[in-house]
Amino acid sequence: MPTIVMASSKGGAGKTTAAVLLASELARQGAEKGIGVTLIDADPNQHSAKWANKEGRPANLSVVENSDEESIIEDIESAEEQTPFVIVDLEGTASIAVANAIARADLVVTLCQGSQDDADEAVKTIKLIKRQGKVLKREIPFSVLFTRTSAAITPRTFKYILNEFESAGVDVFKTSLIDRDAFRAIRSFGGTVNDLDPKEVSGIDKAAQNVKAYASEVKQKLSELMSERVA
Amino acid sequence: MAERAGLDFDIDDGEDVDISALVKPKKDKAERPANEKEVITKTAEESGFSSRQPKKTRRRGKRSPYTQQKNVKMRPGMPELFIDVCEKLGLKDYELMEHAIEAVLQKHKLKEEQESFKELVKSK
Repeated sequence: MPTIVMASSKGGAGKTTAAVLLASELARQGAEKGIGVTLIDADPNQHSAKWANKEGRPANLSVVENSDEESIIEDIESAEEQTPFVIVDLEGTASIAVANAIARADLVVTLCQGSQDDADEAVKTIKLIKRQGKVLKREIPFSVLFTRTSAAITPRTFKYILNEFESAGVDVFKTSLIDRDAFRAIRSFGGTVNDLDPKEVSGIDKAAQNVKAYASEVKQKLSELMSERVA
Repeated sequence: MAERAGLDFDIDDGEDVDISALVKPKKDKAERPANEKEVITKTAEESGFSSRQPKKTRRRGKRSPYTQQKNVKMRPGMPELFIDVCEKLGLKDYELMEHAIEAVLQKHKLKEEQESFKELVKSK
C-alpha cells in the first residue's frame, strides 16, 4: 500500500495537478485488476476534491475531503486499510500537515517549477524530509518532479536549478509535467486526460503519454524501494 | 551544459512496472515511536513548518456580576484598613462591601431593603 505524498511549501507548484494525474492514471491501470486508489485532499482550497466531484472520476478512485493537520495521519492510515494506493495532496505552505503526511509517506514527490523561488521551497521541504527521517529512524524516499515545463525549450534558469539538484545528489524525476492545456482541462471537465474530447482540447495524446511516463516512473521508484527493503 | 534527458516520453511498455507488483502487505504500526506526533511537530517547527490550524478559542468563563463602580470618600487611612480587613477575611473589596451593607441592613432591620439586597445578589 504505497502512500505517495505531494509536498511543496510553495503554492502553485503543481501539487494538485501531479496528484490528480497520478491518482487517475493509477486508477485507470488498476481498474481491471481490482486495485483501488485513494486521493486525500488536505488543501483547504479542496481543488482535488472539486475535480473528483465532477463527472468521470474512475470508479476505483476514492476521495477523502477536508483532511487537515489534526486528521491527516488517521486519514492516511484509514485509506491504507481501504486501497493499495494512497495519494496525498497538500496545501502549498510550510505547515504541520505537510510534516505529518511526510511521516507516513512511502514516497514524497517534491514539486518544483523552473524558478529560484520554487527551488528554494523544494529545498526547504527536502530538509524537512531528511530531518523527519532522522528522528523517525527511517529513510523517507523523495524525488523532485519538475512541473509546468516547456515542451519546446529548456530555459537556462531551469538547467541551472536542475544542475544544482543533481550536484547535491537529489533524486530528480526524468519525466517532467509539461505545461499542457489538457492538464488544465480535466480540472474543468472532470475525468481523466484520456476521456477528454479532441474537439475541445488539443494535444490529448501527448498529455496522456506524459501522464503515463510520470506514473511509470513513480511505479519504477516504488518497485526499486520495495526491492531495497526486501534486500 | 547537458540537455535535460527526461523529456522523452516514449517509454517501452515492456519496462513499465505492473501495478499489481506494488501492492504490498499492510504496514506494521508497532514500529512507530509512542511520542511520534510530538517528534514530528518539533522537527517540523525547527524546519520552519508551523501549525496552520485555527487555534481553538478559549471559552470565556461566567461573567462577573460586579460591573458597577461607586466612588466613596473616606477618612485618611480608611482605604488601607478596608484592604487589611479584606486580606484578613480572604475577601475581595467588592465582597466586603456587600457584607458590610448586609450587616447594616440586618442591624437596622430594614426589611424592604433586605429583600432588594437578596434580589440583587441572586445573580452571583
